[in-house]
Amino acid sequence: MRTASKMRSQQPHISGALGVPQARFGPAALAWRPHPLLTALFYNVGPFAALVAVWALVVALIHPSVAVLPSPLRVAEEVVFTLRSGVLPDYVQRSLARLLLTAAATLMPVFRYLTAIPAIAWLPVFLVTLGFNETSIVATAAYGFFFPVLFNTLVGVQTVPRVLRSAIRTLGGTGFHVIRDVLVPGALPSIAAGMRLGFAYGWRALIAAEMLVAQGGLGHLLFRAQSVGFTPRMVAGMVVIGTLAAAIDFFLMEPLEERTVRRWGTVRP
Amino acid sequence: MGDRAPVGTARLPAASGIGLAGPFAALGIVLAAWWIAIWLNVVPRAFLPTPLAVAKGIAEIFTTSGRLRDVRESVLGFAVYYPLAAGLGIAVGLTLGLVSGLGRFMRPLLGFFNAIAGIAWLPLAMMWFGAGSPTVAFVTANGVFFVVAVNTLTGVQSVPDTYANGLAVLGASRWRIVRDVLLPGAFPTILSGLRLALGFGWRALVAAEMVAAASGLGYLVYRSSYDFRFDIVWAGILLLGFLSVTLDRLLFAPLERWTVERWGVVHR
Repeated sequence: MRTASKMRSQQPHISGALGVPQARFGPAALAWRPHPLLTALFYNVGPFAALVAVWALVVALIHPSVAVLPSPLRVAEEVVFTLRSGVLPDYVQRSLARLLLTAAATLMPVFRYLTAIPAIAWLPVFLVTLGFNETSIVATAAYGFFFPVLFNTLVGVQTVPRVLRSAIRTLGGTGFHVIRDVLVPGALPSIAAGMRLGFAYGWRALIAAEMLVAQGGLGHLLFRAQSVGFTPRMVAGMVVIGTLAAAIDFFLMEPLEERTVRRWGTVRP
Repeated sequence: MGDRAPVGTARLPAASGIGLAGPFAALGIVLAAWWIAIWLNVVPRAFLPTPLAVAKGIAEIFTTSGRLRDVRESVLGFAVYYPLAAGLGIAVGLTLGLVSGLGRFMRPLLGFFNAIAGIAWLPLAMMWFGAGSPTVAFVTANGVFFVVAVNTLTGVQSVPDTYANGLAVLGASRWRIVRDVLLPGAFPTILSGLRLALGFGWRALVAAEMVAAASGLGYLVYRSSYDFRFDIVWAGILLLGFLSVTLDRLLFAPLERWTVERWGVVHR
């Protein structure tokens, strides 16, 4: 990698499309060169074509029984047949679902850890990488919001009783049905709870970030009032912050959570 | 939990079927991603140190007396503010919940103060106490108290009256009703409030230290970014997460297991 980039930087004018140095003068320049795409095709598909050809040749010459080594054509037929009959997609789906669930379960401690880190602690890192500006403030608030939602969504999906999944399967449902009718509704109460918590974390992180990065906003208003000792404006700002947060929680977050819990809650305390 | 959900219900993840290999696999994935990010130069090297440099940073935090003092100040401070504020919150929530009219009257007020993010008190606290530990203490305790109080009140209020009446009909004393009906009935909600308060309180502490103090882990992280010591910044961030997870594990994992066993609500 390093040598390739070095060569490219030293000979910028004579590089080919793929960054391969090509001679401009002399006999080599006159020779026919295949289109780069053709070359790529040859080197990526060619080996497999050769393998299949050898395979077909072996089968044609030795005539082994199908149980020992079926011909490439027979295998292709089987792929088409299992695809058509729906056997293959079903099995592939299950494997992929397991892969996803395993990946999520493995990364769970990481998500838990990232959720546990206060968003505001990332502000110094955001400031140097994203700049001393709006973006850093938004990133801090977004961090506070994102991880509780992610974490609770995963927990929600994992705590949906396995029986329900199996039930849909038994009734002939596909993987899609399981996702649409079991996993999503089953996880919704947890997702709603995560959003409510995420909103609370994000909001607090936002206020704190606004205090540290002087770019306007309620947090900045409070902080400026503090720096000149203007208490009435400070208390006014606090009242506005409280009213806004209480209104959003009361009119948006709480009904959302209560309704999803009532409608889809599988865990009934 | 009846008619009103507690303020957010953070949940424990289901026990994964991966066993002991899980955490190591996760750690491996994270380290790999970290190295790839460094190798691809996503962020200038000065701002994203190598895992090794951060490990050295953590070692430096624990071996430099000034930095160790910052860690100690945050941890010991929280160990004092959190139980005090939480205890007070439970007491106030229970008292309000027992006097039904008072509880209904005070509930919106508690909700409002809960909504004023603990950190929003910071400027006012600085006017009252000046920059420093008392301000951090006030903001942290503030963040803890209201969450616990609101959840305790919610828990007590959500115990169906019929249970209390049933016991009263059988001639139980008021104290008996509190002990055998209200407290157990409200316990899961109180627990969930305590757990939330841990998250809110820790965040408030860190934010307050960053904005208004000259000591503590939050201050250490913020200050180190001005010194261009991003190994210390990352080490501090990781330490903040570690302490938070550890506190949660120590306090709530046993309690949660016990409540679920005792009043089992989660079924798989």
